[in-house]
Formats: sequence, structure tokens, C-alpha cells
Amino acid sequence: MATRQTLTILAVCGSGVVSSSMIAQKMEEILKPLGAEAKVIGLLPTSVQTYVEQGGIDFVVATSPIPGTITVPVIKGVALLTGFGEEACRAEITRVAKDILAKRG
Amino acid sequence: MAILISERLIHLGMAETAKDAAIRKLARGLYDLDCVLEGYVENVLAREETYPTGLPTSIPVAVCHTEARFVRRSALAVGTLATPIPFQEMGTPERQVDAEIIFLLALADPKDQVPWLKKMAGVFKDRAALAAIRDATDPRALEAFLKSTLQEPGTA
Repeated sequence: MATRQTLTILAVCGSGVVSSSMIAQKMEEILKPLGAEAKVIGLLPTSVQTYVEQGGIDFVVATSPIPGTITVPVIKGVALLTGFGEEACRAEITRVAKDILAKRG
Repeated sequence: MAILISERLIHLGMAETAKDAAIRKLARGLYDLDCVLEGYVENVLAREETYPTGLPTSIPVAVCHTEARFVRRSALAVGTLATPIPFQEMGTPERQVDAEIIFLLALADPKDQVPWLKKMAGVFKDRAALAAIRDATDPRALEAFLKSTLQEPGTA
């Protein structure tokens, strides 16, 4: 049986921690049915570009705008906190995750 | 360590109509109870400008906070507003929400506080809980409600 894959996700908010912590658990819920695990790293918006450039990040979920050019998918995550538009947000995350897992083969 | 939730940190039906004034009033209790250090409220206000915390929840709220270095002891101050106050929306600053409740967080070690933050996230999505907070008339009863909703059983 294949081992579960891990997706490394940046959770970005103004404090680097508060909204990120709230979102981290949701990532696990969303990835589990895809047979994947979530490794979630909380980060400040201003640190994202450099961090992503170093590699190893699969996608970003953010509750604040992020400056710079980010070369991985960036998904707005506020809907996960408010409940409004949450289904669409989860669907987008699922789609991005599936895409990444498929490309890994 | 548990978050301090106290009727002394609860203000119901606040008359303030400007967000800075409302946040300053809520912060007073945090200073009085020695939960936060000098500079806390100034930093909360500054952070609100760059990373706004208005949430378009079923009953709109604001979730103001700042870095842990201004916090001595983790606590939650809650204010309900007689008149909703506009806050820019988190992640989409070109939009505003008319907040009816302000949650002012003082987190000494956010990583420690993750279970509690997750419960707060649950409250944001729970219209009945938000309505109970917004419509509260007795600070002591609201204190009890918040404790039962947000704290792990068995903690102080």
C-alpha cells in the first residue's frame, strides 16, 4: 500500500499565527480523502515570496494579501473562517491539491 | 495556560462609533488586569490598518490582535456595539464589514493557544453563538457562556 503523500502548505495571515492556526486543521480535513497529509507552516505575508523561492512549498492559503510574486497557487482562505463561500474554497483547495498529487505521479 | 475570560473584559452595548475608540476602550481592561504591556493597543491599531480583521460572518465581527511580545498573559476582551462599526475585511481590504462584535485577543504564545483558536473559529461559523454574544445583557452570563464555549473542560 502506498504511503500517504505530504503536501507542504503555507498558511499566511497578518500575525503569522492566528488565522493560520485556525486554518491548519481544515487542511488536514480536506487532504485526508485525497490520501494526503498536510504539513502546515504559518508565515507572515512579507516572508512568503522568499520562502516559496527556496522551494518545497506546494501551495499557499492566505487570509491577507501577499506582496511579491508567488510562483505556487495562492488561495484565499477567509471563507474557511467565516463559513461563507467555504464549500467553494474547499473545492478550490481540493482541486489544487489533486493537481499537485497527480503531477507527482 | 488557559485564556483569561472575565466579565471585567466584557463591554456590552458599547456606545463608541469609531473603531479606534472602541478598541482602546476594550483594551483598558487588559491593561488593568496586567495582561498586556505598554504599546499593546497602539500595535493593535496599527496592525488593524495593514492587516484588517473584519470578518463577513453571519453576524459580522472583528478579531483584533497583535504580536505576542506585547502580551504578558493571554486573555480575551469582548465588546458588543450599540451601533455597528465598519472594519475593513480580512484579506480583502477594499471591502468593509459592519462589525457588531469586537473580539480583542491578547495571545502570549499563539502556538500554545491553537486549540482555543480553533474553537474561536467554530464560533465564527455559528450564528446562534454569535447572536448569543451580541444580544447578551449580563456580562457575568456572557463570561460563563464564553468560558463554556471556548475553554477546554477542566481548565481554569
